[in-house]
Amino acid sequence: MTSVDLEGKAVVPAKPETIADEIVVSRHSGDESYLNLVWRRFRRSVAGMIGLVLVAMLLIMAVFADFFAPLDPKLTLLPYGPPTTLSFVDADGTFSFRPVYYPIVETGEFDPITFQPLTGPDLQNPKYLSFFVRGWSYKLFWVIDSDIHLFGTADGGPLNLLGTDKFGRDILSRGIIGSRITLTIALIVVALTTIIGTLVGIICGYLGGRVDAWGQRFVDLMLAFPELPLYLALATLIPVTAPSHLYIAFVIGVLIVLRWAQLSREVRGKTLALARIEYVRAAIATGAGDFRIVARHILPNVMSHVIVSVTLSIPAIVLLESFLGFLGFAVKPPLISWGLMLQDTNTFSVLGSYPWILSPVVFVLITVFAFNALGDGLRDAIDPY
Amino acid sequence: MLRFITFRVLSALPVLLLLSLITFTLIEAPPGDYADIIKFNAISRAGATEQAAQAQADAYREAHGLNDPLPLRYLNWITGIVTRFDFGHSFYYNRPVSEVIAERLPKTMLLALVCHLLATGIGITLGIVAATRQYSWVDTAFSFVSFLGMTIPRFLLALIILYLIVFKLNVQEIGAFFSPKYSMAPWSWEKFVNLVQHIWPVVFIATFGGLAYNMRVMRANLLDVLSSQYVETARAKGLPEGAVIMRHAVPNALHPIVMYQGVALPYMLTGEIEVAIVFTLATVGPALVGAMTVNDVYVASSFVLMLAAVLIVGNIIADIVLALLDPRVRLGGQAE
Repeated sequence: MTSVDLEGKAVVPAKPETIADEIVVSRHSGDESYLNLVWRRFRRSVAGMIGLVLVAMLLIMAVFADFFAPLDPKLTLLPYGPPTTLSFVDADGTFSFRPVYYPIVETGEFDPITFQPLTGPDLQNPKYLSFFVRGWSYKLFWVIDSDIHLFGTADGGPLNLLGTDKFGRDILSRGIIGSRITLTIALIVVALTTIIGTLVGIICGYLGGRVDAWGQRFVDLMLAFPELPLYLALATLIPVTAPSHLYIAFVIGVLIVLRWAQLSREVRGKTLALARIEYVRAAIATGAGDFRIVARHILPNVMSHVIVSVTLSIPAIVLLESFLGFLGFAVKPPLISWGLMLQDTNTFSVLGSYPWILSPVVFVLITVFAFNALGDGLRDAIDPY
Repeated sequence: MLRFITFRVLSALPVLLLLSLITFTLIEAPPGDYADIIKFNAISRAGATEQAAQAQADAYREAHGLNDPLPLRYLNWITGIVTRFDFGHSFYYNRPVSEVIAERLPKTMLLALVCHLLATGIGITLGIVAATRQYSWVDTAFSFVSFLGMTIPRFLLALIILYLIVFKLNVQEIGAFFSPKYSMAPWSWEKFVNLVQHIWPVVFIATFGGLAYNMRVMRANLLDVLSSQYVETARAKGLPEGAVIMRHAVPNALHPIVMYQGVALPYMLTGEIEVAIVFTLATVGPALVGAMTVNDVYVASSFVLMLAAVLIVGNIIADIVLALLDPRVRLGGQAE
């Protein structure tokens, strides 16, 4: 006992400096090995790796959407044209390396009951699928003129692998290009909610006292709202006549208002726990300012939790956007999003006759799956110690 | 204990009041009211002239107090609720809002409760099965199912199932609780079977996600508990494995599940609402969406208020159960 006391006394004058040095050194080398540890653990989760690859592919698809989309998303063809099927067998039954398909045309006959014009494959006109073809022109990164597309028909004829919608626009191309708006909405919302939620959470948790009490009461109120009805109420606030970019800003704003509270609650809990841990107390004892403590000691430790919550809330936003689209509160028509494309699926008769208009669901499902798998893997890997 | 409950209930009241104010303002804020819908319908359906329709709309506004300023309307509405339990008059249904609520809210609550119980029961059972057979193929299969349950969006699942049963299985009368011949019949076994035939998709979809969450939480907890010393002791003194798990491990692993119920209730309620909107089942969901689109203010705000009250009550019940189970919670609450 006495030796400890003696040692403690002897060390006191030199303590602050040595600790400060140690922290700086160990933090620096610790950072890299931490990332390595996380990566090593993450690689072991199969679902996580699949998620990572899918997310990477989705992002690439969104960035180079024009290149991947075979048709101009605004080009109108036959309304509600069924999907064309590709096959490797020619019209005369021989095997062909190039996938062949028959474009859908109106047959000139009418449905005996509905009197809708009947459509069907034009067997006289086989067309071949080609890669890196010239098609509709677009601007890569809004600057570089280009008209090269990953695939399409050699002569630029229509190819609707997922069919067409009510105005005869290619669903596949619209889905690929729609990923941009949907993912942009998700990323902006998640970025802003993360910033707001983390800030509020850290401020409440760190300052405590009256700020915390009132802050948490406000968060309680936000969380007491039933989410969906509040969303609908806020969505009806958006003026229908607003121009499309203003409308999308409204949608983003509404989503942010709804989603920051949950994260701030979690971050506050973490901060509360962290503020009582020895190294934060030590930092207070050495006279570090509030800002330094928050920025250097608390924020880095909260970050892992925040990153996981970011990956897991992206699919939630994508989903909410598509559900709102289904209810009729998606972005406005010149813009394309998955939610907007699902708008027509809430009419049973349309859905029954033309089931392929459901196919944007596949995009949403893949996105939700990819980000969830990534987030799941990250959550297990983020705490490797 | 009584103090704990009274405190929780009393502190919920101001939240509800503020919530009702915000909801009412939000719903009333956009321009236009129900009289505009009447005017529109009078012109487009009844072929009235512009002036006649306008006069009709003005008369309606006068009769239903739609010309009053917003704060006054809110005050009238909220004092009606507090003093007479009167939620106002529904424009769209043309009868008291309380009737509309009484007709739909119990159905939603019952459905959500059934889903909730199913999700908890099945989820816990599957969790126990998975945890006691860790890393076996059963565990892997269940983990996969739970991942699917948590990942597949409920409204998309509802949309796909709706498509399959309506257009592939040719089931009619989607969106009703009964076939026409049973709708007026007294309760009987056949009527119950008929009910189940109509609502199973809603129950199935809303249960699926909750089940997955419960199973995950249960599996993780049970694995933690199973590696603790008293389980080892129980095994060492020669108890059969079944008794070790059911008597010693499971009760202790249930604790976080109870804590989680407060979060699970809103999840199940939202699930039921989402699926009911897709299926247009005559519960709260579609009524709420409908009321929002036609500016039926009192219906919309009352439903939001009721749902919020249900959520708050659910949270209080979860807190009470937890306090009953764990003295640390109720004592901790007083100590702070």
